[in-house]
Amino acid sequence: MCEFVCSARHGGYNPQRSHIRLVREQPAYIMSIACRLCDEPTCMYACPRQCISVSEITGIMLVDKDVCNGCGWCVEACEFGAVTINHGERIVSMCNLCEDRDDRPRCVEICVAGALALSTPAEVAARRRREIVRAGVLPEMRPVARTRP
Amino acid sequence: MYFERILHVDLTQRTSRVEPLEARAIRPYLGGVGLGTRLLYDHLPPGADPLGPENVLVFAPGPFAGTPIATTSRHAVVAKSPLTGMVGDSLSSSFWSHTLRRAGYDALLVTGRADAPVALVIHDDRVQFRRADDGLNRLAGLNVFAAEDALRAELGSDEFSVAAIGPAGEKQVRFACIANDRGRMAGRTGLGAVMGAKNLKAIAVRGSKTIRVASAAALEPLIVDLARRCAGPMTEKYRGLGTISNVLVLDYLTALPTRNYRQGSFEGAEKISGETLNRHYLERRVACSGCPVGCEHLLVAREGPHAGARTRMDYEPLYAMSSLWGVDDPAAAIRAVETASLAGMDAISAGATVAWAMECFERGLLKKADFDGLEPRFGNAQAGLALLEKIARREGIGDLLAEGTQRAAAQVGHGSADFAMQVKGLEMAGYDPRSLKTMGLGYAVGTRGACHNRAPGYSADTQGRANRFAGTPEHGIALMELEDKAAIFDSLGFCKFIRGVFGDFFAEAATLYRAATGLEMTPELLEACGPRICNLKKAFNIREGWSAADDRLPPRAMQDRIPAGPDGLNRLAPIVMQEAELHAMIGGYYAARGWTADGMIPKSQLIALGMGDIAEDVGV
Repeated sequence: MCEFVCSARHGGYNPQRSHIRLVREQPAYIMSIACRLCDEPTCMYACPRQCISVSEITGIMLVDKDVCNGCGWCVEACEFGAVTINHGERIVSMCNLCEDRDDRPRCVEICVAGALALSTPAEVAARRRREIVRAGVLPEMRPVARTRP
Repeated sequence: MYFERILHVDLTQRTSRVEPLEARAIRPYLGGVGLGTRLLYDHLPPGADPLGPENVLVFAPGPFAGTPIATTSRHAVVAKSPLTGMVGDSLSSSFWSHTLRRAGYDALLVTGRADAPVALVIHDDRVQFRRADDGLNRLAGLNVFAAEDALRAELGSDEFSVAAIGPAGEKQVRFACIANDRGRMAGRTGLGAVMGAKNLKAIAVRGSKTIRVASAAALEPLIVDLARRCAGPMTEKYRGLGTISNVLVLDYLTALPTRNYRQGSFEGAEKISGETLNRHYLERRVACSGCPVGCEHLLVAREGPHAGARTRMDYEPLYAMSSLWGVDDPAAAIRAVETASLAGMDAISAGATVAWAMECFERGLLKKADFDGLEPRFGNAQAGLALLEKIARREGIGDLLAEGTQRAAAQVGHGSADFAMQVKGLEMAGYDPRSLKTMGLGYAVGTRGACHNRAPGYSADTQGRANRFAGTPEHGIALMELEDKAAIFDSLGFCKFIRGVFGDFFAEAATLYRAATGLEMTPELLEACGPRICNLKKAFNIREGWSAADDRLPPRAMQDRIPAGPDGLNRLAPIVMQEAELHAMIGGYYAARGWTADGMIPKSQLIALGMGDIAEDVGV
């Protein structure tokens, strides 16, 4: 579902244009992969035309569409396979976290299974802390720590 | 929106062409099963041999395939069935359906027969025939998963989705199926044998086109809303324990077919129950492409003689390879379903055929020597597994059993047809017709034989809409309504597992249809598609020689009473389907459909349904 709704930004559905892609590794492994918003993005360093930059505000990869010629070095460089070249325009596009929307990214919204979330590291850590407190304290009032300090 | 293009492939000439088909001509049949049946009707020479080159194999995705409308990544496969000689329509799902759509086609129609095994490769407008019987990635003889992986590896791209037959399809086992996307199957009515008879091992599709919709703005909120509901409580049964939770329910209702329908409850039901299987064998749950339900339960046997056996499991394959064999070992059932799946066989028909062979053995109609030394008594899972292997290879007795119970019983004779649990050649799904009377009616009149999916009478029985103990003409009305709605689900491509999430289904589906296709659609117009498609299937059968004598149940359902359960849990009095009772229900059903007393369709009705062009062929 995430692939479909992501691709819809072009009008119509085509998972090949999606910024988030699904991987099924048989027999029982499934994962969706999108841009990881790297601090030291290999795609940026690989680009011979310097058309990729990192937004200082949101951390998303910005592609200068006037400069990009679709050579695909960034595709080769990305360790996560998260760079897409749009077939029609022949230029690179990457996840922009649906920054044009007020709501969550489309993929997160449609993921009713709850497998996708948009979180900062701090939010992940906070959620983890809450989970462990709930698991440890609420049901049986057990001591929280299972590790030695 | 529809692409308004149908891809015709002729395997004899190894040519292909695209024929236009106006959206307005598709709309009365929606897509999927409806469109597929119409294309079959229009292109099949009447009386064609199902396993001959004239048979037409249609692949038709629903009109929503390729959009994120929940669960609609589905396609129908339609041909004349080698098992029933009538309409064979089967559904599968996941990536293959929307990939074919993205290649730019509303349907694929395959005719002819290749002179050597081939794989068909469709990449947008390019259609290629590749040899499947030589080269580094020899496909012929491979099981369905291996064939899929090998072809994709040869083509060098994950963007290809593959539908393939297994060894059973190549050997034209009459209940062979077509598998796609590692484990989704167009299972019933033997369409894999049709593909095998055409020497077509696999179809790889890759599409780079965009699925356009008429009004994305109108569609987007509807899609999100529907997806949320599909992940909600109305589908919890399928996501939670899965359909295998039916085992204990049907056992309690004395409707769990056991030992080839000698019993309606199984003393080992607890051991093969959904609860037990989920607790001890569940590896993970998987979803089809674009589905928020996620019903697939991938089970694995971790220890014992069947360690490593792994398969997707649903109720019907499970019943057919456990209680129906009198086997209470879940690991053996997992191995059996895996064996049938990899070979590319419909697990229901394969299991039921083995169960019939077991009864033949116990009655002495088939001897140990006939089975090459096997002793397939009820309860002997090892022998059952060995028989599945033999069927897939058509080896020894497997050659007889690969014909299905109807044809095998005709050869064995000595009353073995009395306990061949099939209608029109299709083996029954796991619902005993004696204790579920609407289901019994559905089996009898179903256009594709004893099927629980096209004629889902069991839901009227189990939900109390019809008296499951005593058949009346009113059961005919209940069944007709269920059939009509099922036809619309099968044609729009909705999965029936989400039938509970809709408030007003026709209103919602019509809105989705308008927004997606841009064509006019009202709830009333949509509702009218159900009778149209059901009548079309029946019309096809009539053209192929159907008569009222085909709408029957096997003698066991009419004569042999189901004994009460051994532990006293099943307090149901022993019952049968009485002749008068079935007759009354069938009469009620024909009347509800507007058919004549002997089940024929009046010309006036075909004209009223907008199918005046076929009225002359089959109408009376």
